[in-house]
Amino acid sequence: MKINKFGFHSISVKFDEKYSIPHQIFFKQHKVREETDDRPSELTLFVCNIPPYYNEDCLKCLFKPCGIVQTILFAETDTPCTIINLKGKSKFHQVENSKGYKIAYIVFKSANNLQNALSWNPPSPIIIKNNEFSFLTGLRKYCQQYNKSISIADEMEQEIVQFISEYDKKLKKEEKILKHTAQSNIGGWVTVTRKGRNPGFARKQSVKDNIMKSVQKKKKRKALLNFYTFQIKESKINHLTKLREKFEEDKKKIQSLKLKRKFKPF
Amino acid sequence: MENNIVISNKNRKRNNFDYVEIPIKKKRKKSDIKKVAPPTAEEMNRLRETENIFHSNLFRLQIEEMLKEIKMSERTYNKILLWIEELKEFLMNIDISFSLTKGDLINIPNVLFPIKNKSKSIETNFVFMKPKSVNVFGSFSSNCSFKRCGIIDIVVEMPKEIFHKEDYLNERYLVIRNIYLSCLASKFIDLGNDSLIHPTIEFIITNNSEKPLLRIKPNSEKLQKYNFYIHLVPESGILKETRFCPSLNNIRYGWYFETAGDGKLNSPSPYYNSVVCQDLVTLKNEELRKNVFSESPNFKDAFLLLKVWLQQRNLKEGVGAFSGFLLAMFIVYLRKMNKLNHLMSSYQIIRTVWLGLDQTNWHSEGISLVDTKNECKSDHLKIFNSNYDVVFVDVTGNVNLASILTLPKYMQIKFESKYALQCLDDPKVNSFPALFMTPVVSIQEFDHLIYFRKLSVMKKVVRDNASTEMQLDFRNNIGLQFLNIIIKMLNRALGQRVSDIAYIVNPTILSWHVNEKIPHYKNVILGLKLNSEHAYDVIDKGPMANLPEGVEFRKFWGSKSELRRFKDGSVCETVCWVKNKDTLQMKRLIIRDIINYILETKFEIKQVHYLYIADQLESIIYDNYNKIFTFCGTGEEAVLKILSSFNDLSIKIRHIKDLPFQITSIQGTSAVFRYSDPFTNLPHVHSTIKKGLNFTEKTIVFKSDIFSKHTPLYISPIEAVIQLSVSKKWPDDLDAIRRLQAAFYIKLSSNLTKICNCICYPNYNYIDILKDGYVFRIRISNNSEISALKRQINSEGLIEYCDNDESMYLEKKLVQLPILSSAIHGLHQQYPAFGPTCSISKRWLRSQLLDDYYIPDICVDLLLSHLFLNAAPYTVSYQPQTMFIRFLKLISTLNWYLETIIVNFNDKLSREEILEIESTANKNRESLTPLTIATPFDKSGTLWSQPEPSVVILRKLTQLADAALHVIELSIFNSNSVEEIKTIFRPPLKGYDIIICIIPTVNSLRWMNIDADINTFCPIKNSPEFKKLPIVDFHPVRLYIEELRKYYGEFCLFFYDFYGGDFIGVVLKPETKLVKEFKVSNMKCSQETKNKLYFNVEAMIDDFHILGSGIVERIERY
Repeated sequence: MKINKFGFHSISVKFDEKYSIPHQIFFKQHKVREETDDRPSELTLFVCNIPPYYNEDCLKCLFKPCGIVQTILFAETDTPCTIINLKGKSKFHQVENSKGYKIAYIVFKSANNLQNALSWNPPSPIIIKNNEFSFLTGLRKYCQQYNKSISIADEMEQEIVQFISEYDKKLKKEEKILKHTAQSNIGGWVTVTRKGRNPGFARKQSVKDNIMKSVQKKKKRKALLNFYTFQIKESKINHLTKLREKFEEDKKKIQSLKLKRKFKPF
Repeated sequence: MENNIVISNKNRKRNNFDYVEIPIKKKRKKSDIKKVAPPTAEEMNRLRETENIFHSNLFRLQIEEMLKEIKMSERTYNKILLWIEELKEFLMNIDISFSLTKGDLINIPNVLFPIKNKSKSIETNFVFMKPKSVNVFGSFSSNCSFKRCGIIDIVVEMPKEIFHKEDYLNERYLVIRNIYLSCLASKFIDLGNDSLIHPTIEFIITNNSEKPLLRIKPNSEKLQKYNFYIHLVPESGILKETRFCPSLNNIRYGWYFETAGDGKLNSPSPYYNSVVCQDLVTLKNEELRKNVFSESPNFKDAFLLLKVWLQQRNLKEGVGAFSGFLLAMFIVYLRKMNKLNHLMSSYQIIRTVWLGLDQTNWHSEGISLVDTKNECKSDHLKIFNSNYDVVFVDVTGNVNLASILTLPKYMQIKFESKYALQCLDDPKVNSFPALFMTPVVSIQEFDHLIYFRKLSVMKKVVRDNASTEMQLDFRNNIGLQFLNIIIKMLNRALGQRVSDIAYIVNPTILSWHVNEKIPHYKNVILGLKLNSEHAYDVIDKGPMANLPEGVEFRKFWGSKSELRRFKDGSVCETVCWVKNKDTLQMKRLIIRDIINYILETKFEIKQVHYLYIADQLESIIYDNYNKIFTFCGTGEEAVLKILSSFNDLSIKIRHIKDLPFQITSIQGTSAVFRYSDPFTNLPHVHSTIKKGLNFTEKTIVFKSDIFSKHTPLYISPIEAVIQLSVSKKWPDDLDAIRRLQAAFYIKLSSNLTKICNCICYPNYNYIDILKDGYVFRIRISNNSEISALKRQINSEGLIEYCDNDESMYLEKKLVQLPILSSAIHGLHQQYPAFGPTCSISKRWLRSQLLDDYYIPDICVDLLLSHLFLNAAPYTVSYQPQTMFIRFLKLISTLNWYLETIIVNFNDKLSREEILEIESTANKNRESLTPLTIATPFDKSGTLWSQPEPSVVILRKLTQLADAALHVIELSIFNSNSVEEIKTIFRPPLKGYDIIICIIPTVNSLRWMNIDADINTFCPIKNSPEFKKLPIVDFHPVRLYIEELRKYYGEFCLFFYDFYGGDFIGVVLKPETKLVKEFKVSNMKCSQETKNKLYFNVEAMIDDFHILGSGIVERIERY
């Protein structure tokens, strides 16, 4: 059993027998202060340095000797928000999100399995690729991807129709709730929505900005310009400073041109 | 009205209120005002002056900076003056006992006689005598010499006594002058090492081979970089100036041809006359010049500026050049005409000089420095004009100062002046660098170059074609005669096809040590600028056959001439050069064919005797097509075919009625629509390889069990965008929008199949349409999709729209790219060389293993657009090769970090906008991308250059371009230049840590490799029907690299040439070599030893093998 001083276990893994150099995968028990439901500490193994092309099947196969794996969550870093989630997307529009080496949270079925994993001492390099699952890389994978992208017209239509009908239902529901809130006045308060007889402003940043702008404009229109002598004097001075500023700016440009050695014709 | 009053009252109240309540604020305001220093009179003057008498403040400052840089400092000036005093004293007291009597051979100790005179012996007696005077003259005397490689002219006056009465005749004056010069040289040599003068003493010919000068250098280290040219003039009054009137003969026929000739054969010798007479009047003109230049220092400044301008254009020196002396005299002329005055600023002076050069026509009505009161002036000038090409009469009225200026050079000067004025008048560009800072190089300047290497060819042409008058006047000046003959002939043959024929004689300045033989000029280059309106005319239409002109025409063109009937019924003599259906690439070379024909038939110059430089680099793209397809030029025709097919398709799509959304426009986005694809699709790239493919009803897919090692050849989809009208039907939810879009594709596909019987294949994100053998891939550009991606709810609970990576990507691809594509399409229509240039440039860039990832295609397109829109100091060329070389020059000299590239399509940006773009870019330089390209559609300039190219890549690019330019400059004048130039398209293998070799048959663009064997690709014939959607956009190597970049981009850089490259170069980033602490964030691809993490390169290489199974042949580590 190899455990280093940081509490990490390490195992060597080879993808295929052909290759001589194994990858080192590090893992330890998942322990954080704020635990989430999908990754309970007593069931979860925190695994690092997983090669980017490994998928769930690979990991399941790898940890098979330790017990039954319930779920596997991939992440890019160990901060909780980077879990790679593919749910809710159309199956025709799935993009692989992984960017390089991954981190995984492996949730076992029972606590025993986790303990097995933590005391696991495999014989040197484990070889993952076997006949249990088909895992394509390289040219074959690309060919398969291409085929997938082609043969889907009818299925796609079905999926769309289904999704849209569900979506319409959802919208109707929401509208109902909205109407309901607009009509009810709880404790004398009326909720203003965009619908109805007296619609409120859209709750957008741009609308707010526009209102602020017009207020400012109005303010400006009301002020008197070039009326008092001090104002005239000031405007003259402003003109002068502007000229000077421009002059200075040009000088700066020249300086930068000088840096480029632009004044030696030959 | 009432309202206003109320408001002002309120204001006043508030003011009062302010005053009472917060007096501190007011006080601070006052002190603010005091900080602005009152302007001094000087400052006000300067500010006002800049507005009125200079182009702009920036221009003025630039002029000042440059003058500072090139002007000689007061200290060195004085030092040189001191040295000249010493030299003067030495020369005035020189004593040489040297004499020759009539009939002696000219033999001067230590010195070889510097001109080739007719007889080796002297025809009069000669005794050396001390010079009459020694003076400084020319630019140094007014302190307008350059600081670097400055030239100081010294004039030595030869005494009266050494001349004879009849020395005007038969080169006698020239012989004596040169013997005198040789005597001085021999004396200098005798002085040895420890003297005033550096022992390397040379003869030098700047522009007149009959009057070499003596070049000496001071023997002190500090002054050694200055060259002193010794000129000789005779003391006044030895020869009558009227003797040298242009219509008189001073070289006797009998003497020159050594046959007893009739007196009638003594034709005028204007060239010889002016050569001799110029020496007689030098000092008088110099005096006038000095007077004018001493009026105001601005004359000197302007003179210096113009000298720089001439120098940069290589017009100041060499055979037939516009010398500094001539320039100075022209300024004097303008002063005399009262076009200049001493109050003018240097900027105003140079502008007036350019205007003067543009407006006067020395070749048709010469100008004269003689006082205008002289009534017979015009008659006088007529004599000059009938004897010389270009006329500028000096102050004495006897000499044509411009006699050594040749007509082509003069026309070039006129053209350049006009162009300079245009540059100044264009407020949008900072014209200063173009006018003064950029040297003009011939291979970048001209469309076509004709390169004559052999002197023997030129001699033969002159021997066979020069008239006796010409031979008599120019004598052994072969170069001038050759140029004269050949340019006249080419002008006649090419007519309106060219706008300018210029020449360059190399080397521009001949210099040799005094005891060596006179060297020859090495080569002559003719440069042609095409006139785009007529250059590609397929036929030359001559006069009607029955007119006498018709006979002449037929005589000129010989067997090429034939009779043709035209649409208006006329029957004319014509010459036809190419067939109508020939490609544009061939049409670009019509002029070459004409010149080949003319040189061969008129002068018997075979093609092996000269080199025609115009299309050497085009062969790169031309070869690609030739490799597997039938001939189709450089691809412009293929683009046109696609465009017409696409137009047809878009009309059909617009005619579809029952679509849920209205289509507003259909626009292309592929590189094809910008004419910038190095390989344009052809309609018949159906795979001939059937193994491993499964033919279904509508498409072709891969078999899942049988596997072929040959992947089908690449077919790129031609991408386009459908713009939909704004509609409220779109939902807010992104997933819903995307599904609706997919539904739209399905609907479109079924309708389109019904209407036009083409194969459509809807997909989730696009629709593929097979039409005329092309695959068009069309996407919907939908604003609601983009805004759904942008939508966010901020901390106040308001809805905000923020850019993010995905929305930016879509916006670029679906909104910005179509706009840009149509702008660039317009640019190509204006400058037809754009497309091919772009293709060559991309081919070159990619062959350096810098692919679309590092330098996005669109950046290349934009850089080239910039080049075409801002061609200064050149004009836009019509030959792709020339433009490509300029492109290399641009990227090798561009200071990426400090300059913002502005591509001003259709002049949409105003001057103010451009200034604003520049100033904001300068202010925010740190936060911007290393390369910024601003367009009217994207003023920030960062849209297309994100995230790459990075500084590292740009630096590499600069080096590569510099190297490529070097190779081209060296090899383009060699006879097998095509092969030599191809080396710049072969990537170097050095500098990579890992090299991944690819199985060649997997590479679906394998035929584009520069060294691909033509024989391995069987030509693919048109298949009669296109009924199945072929395998589109399948490039396994690209997919592989994309995967590698995604997974290992943190650790390595991957380089690959997509156009048929057979290896991937991998560079490890320096971070991978570090030892790291054991941390979760450092664990990627590393192994642990003793609680530290090391990068595991071997394991990564194994990963490369695994991911590239079936693609990778072997991986080598260096």
